[in-house]
Amino acid sequence: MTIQLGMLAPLALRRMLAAIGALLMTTLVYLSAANAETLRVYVPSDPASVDPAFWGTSVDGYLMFNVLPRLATPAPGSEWKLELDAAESIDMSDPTKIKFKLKEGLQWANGYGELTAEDVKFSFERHLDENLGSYIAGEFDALDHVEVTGPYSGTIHLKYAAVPMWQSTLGWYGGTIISKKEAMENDGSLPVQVKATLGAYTFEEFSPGERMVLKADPNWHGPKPHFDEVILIPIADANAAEVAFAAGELDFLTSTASGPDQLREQYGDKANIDVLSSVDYTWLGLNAQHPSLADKRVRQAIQMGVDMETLLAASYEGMDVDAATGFAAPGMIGYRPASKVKYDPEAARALVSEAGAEGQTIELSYANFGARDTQAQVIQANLAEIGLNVELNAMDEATFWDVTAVKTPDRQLTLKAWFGNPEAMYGLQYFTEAEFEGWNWEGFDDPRYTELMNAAWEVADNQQRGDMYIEMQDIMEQSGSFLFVDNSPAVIVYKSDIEPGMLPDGRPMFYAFKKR
Amino acid sequence: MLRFCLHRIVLGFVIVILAISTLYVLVQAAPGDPIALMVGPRATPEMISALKERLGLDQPMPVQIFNFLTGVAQGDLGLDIKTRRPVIDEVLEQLPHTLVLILASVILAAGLGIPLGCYSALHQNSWADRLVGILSVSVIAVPSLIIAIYGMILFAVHLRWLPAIGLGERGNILDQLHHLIMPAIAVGIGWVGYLARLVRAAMLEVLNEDYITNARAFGLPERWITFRYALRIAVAPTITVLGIGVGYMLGSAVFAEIVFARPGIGKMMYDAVSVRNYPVTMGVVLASTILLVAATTVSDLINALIDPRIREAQE
Repeated sequence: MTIQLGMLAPLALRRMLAAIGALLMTTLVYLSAANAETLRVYVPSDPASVDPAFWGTSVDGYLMFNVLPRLATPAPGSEWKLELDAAESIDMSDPTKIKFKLKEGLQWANGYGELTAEDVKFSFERHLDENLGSYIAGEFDALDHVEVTGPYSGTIHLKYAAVPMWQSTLGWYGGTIISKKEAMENDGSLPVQVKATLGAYTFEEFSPGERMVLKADPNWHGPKPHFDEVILIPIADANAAEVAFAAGELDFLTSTASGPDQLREQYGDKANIDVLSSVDYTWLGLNAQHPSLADKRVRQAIQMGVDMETLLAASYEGMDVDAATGFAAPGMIGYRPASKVKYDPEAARALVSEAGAEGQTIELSYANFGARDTQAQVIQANLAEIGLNVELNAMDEATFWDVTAVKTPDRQLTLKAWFGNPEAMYGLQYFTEAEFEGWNWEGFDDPRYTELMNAAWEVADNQQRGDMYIEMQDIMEQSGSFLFVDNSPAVIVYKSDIEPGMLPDGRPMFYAFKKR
Repeated sequence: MLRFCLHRIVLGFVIVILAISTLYVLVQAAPGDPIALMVGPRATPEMISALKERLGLDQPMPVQIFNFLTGVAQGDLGLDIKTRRPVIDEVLEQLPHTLVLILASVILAAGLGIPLGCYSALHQNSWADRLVGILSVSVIAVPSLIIAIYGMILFAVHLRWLPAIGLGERGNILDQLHHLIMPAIAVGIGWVGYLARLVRAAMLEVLNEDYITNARAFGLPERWITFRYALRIAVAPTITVLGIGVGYMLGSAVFAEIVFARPGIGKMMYDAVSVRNYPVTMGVVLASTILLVAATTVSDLINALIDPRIREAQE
């Protein structure tokens, strides 16, 4: 059989055209990949759960804020404020009824349909379901039910006025709206790699221990993010993350092991370093129910005997960290400009002597984490100077929080930190007699405090509520049961050509990141 | 040989059961309530009790162990109390990464350690022998964490020859191998020195045996005597040690996986223990115990294959 050139020509032409097409496609894909901007972010761990009912790590929060919506969400910037997110409007004129109207046409990713008021109802009411076992059920104590009044509108009915709930829960992780459809496909909760996202980014990939990949969602209702892709890289050792940053393999560090001066020296002008105050709070709790601390004079002596300036300088490598003044961090309503406790070892010694407590031994328990060990040692040294002998009891995090093993009456001094929230009531609400067996390790109970707290739930005026919080924190301090230490400063590092979009405490909002 | 294999496998199985039961008790006896940690500082004691009941942690210890072993037999290791995913899925996702790292480390250790030890024995008391000796002791003495951190600073930050973190690009074998170099060196370099010393000592002993002298008397080539007769016997203890070494390398893999931000069961174990994630801790312990038992069993089988005396003694 003879094959003629004419027979080959169409075949060859087709093949050539196909090859050119494939080459063009490859080039286009390559070019688009080359143009894609990727932000590589260090995070300390894998996520535990992006389901607001079960969140447990800071990474869960980063993901919730970047891939899932709320009615209103914290806005990037230097001040704590909420901006409307999935909601088009909110009416809070009645303190027990929050009316909302959703933006129309918001679509869940991956074909999970449109966001409706049914999703909002499901997202909030599920926390009350005992079978679900939401870890944050307590935050929804005030919720009665959510009434759906239309596809995009509804009313959140509260059992009692709970104004702080708007900021502390609905405008925070607890208020995250999830797709009812996806949750129902997963026995009522979300998988770690949520598919039905509705935010600036979709959650494209989760490789445990390796990375989480977020991709810009073209359907997002907000401004187009500068970075098309964000890769979160979990590294258990912050020192290793700092080295990886120096090697050019990371662009943004959400926390560090070294202090800012050391990092500036190491990175030079290749990096910017911000030191921000978090909303978390560390304090020394003095248990008034324990015999060794039952005398208020001893507690006040301890408050006055700790040199906070030295303690902070020692624990944060000379970083300029201000002492905390209560449970409200700077920029939050209820922030106290200054503590009323002053370092006065002479007066402290006199109080110890007056109380007949010289040479008394007191146990200080703490989770040996971060700067806590240094802080405990400074406290020990300071209190030795006023005549008190402090025994340090360092524990790992899990042992320290073992509430079922150690009851409040057995605790003495505890140095601890809680996750905070831009609403001070989030933490203040636990210091009642009812929490003696729970989280009130100070055994603190004051009728005026309780009265103010109960009243503050109903006060919509921020200024007025803030004043009440200030008085509550004054009472805490005056009781001698609290010595506020710090607001866990966060050191944030990013490449100098990046302009990060962050909440006031450094939580990244990736859609607001820009390249200089 | 079949009887020998069966005997080793049954023994391995018994070791796994005993080790897991003991570790279960130890893990549970550690202070710290995982449920309290899981639900955070604000959970009520009632919520903690309810979750304990749901996870079966309120049962007596023997019941918990029985339930765990029954679950293991059915391939059910429970749910991760953090992510609520099946532990078996998480372990199977992470295990291959650790296996690759350990395999690379074993190849490095055996590939360098055995020839170096052999060379040292054949050139006893030469300057090369002394140099290998000094280097061997040096690398044995330096902890893998130090090698990992300083290796990273030198090769990733200053020289930029090797990547600092991660597994490498998906589907790109070369890139993944590139990312594997430093972790494998960090885990395996100490074993290079250890094996070199071990092989040297074993070779010197074997080279003085009568049958080697006989072989030389028969005029067999020295190369043949060395590799065919001496090394084959000298390498037997090395294989046994390497089997046990897999367990030690698992320990080093924890650091390597943390420092180089690589997934794997070492890092998974570290995370799980630090937050008292019992189901994951037990799942990882089970996987690493099986890995260790499998490695020692395989090393015994290889020894039996290359040295008939071991096989015959067992039979």
